Amino acid sequence: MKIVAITSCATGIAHTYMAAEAIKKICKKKGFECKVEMQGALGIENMLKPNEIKEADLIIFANDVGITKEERFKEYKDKIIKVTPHSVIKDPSIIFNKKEENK
Amino acid sequence: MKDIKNQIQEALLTGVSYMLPFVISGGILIALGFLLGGYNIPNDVAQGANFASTIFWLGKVAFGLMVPVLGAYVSYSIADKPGIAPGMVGGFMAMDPWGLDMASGFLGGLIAGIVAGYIVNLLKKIPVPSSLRSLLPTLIIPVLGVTSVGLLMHYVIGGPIAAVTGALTNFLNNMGTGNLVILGIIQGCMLAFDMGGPFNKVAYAFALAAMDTGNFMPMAANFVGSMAPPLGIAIAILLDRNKEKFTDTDRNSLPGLFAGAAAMITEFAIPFAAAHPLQVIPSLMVGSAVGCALSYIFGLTMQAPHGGIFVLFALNNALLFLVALLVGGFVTGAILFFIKKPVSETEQSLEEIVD
Repeated sequence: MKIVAITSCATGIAHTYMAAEAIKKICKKKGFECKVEMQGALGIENMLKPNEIKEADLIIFANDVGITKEERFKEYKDKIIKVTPHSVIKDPSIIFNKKEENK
Repeated sequence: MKDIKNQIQEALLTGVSYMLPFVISGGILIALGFLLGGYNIPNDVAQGANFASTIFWLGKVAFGLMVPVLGAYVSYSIADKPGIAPGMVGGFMAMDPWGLDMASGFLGGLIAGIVAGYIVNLLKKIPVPSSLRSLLPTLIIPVLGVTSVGLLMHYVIGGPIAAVTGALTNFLNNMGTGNLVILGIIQGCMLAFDMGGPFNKVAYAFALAAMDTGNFMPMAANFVGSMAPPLGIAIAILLDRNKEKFTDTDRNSLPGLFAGAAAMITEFAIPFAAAHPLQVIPSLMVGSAVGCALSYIFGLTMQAPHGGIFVLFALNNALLFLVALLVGGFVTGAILFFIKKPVSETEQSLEEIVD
């Protein structure tokens, strides 16, 4: 399974990066491919490419503040899972539980 | 309904997020101008006539953009790119540019941004023939958006919001010590609850809004409440002399915790709170609440909006500030030390595997 994610938070210095770490860690543990774009205080880091977004099985938005360049995801609305950075840091597995709920 | 609530909450956080660099640079430059040129610099020296005055007024320019930028990015969060212009103009109107006694500050900018965002979203739905589609974003939305938000701010909502802001400001400025202590407790609990998350940012926005109206007490309390959590955890680790309650990884993060406390970055406390929320978060909340309450009791004021111990010069009394901070930190440290359960064997061994 391929997973892409975007993380962001109000100050853009801590939750953004901790949520990114949490998502990468759990994907590694489960053996999923994953790439995380961080929209922190420095702007967009590790930006997702259009083909990566297209090929992903799951798109995770872990954001407190509005996603920058959200139009990239317009065509893939049904793959998007919305969580908050805080909840991902606390329990990263919610990104998979939410998937079950959506089905 | 819940969607709208979430959207507005996200808009507020987005607005604050984009606003912070303006506020922080502006606030610190203003404080620095006072430091260099004395407290009468705005009146004694003509604008830009000497270096201190230049620094001061440069800070004023940056700080003055706070409300327009807030309006712009609140609206951006709701309506995307076309929301920026109407939101920013609405935010500027909230600063009472024509001197009509209608200044509604932070609150006005926030409401202007929300209104602008929803108006632009409505304007996007205007049916236009496809041959004229490009007129919508280039002409129709900017003109109608700016006009309607501007007119609403001037004729309809600007006055009432200014009245509410004025009433809140008066209320805050005339609060007795007892009420200020309660305010401090609420502020401290919110600041410590999610350590830099949405609750923390709402409390911070309150302190900024108060600062905008010239009341610098909430900002001093904000400093204490934001700096106490990392400090308190560090103190709890130092109290744990038998090394029973914290792991080696915890101890290794001591320098980071002190740096977080010094630089006012509450986020350094998150890893601990995430690992043991039920023990850590209440301890942090009590410590920050005590610290904030003390800050009000001491009557501390802080003229810089961020910067931790590096902007102590902007306080009216640095010594009492350190007292409030240390007391808050020790309260957190002591509570956490007593209620924290010893490290379990599994935790210790789990950690070894990860290492």
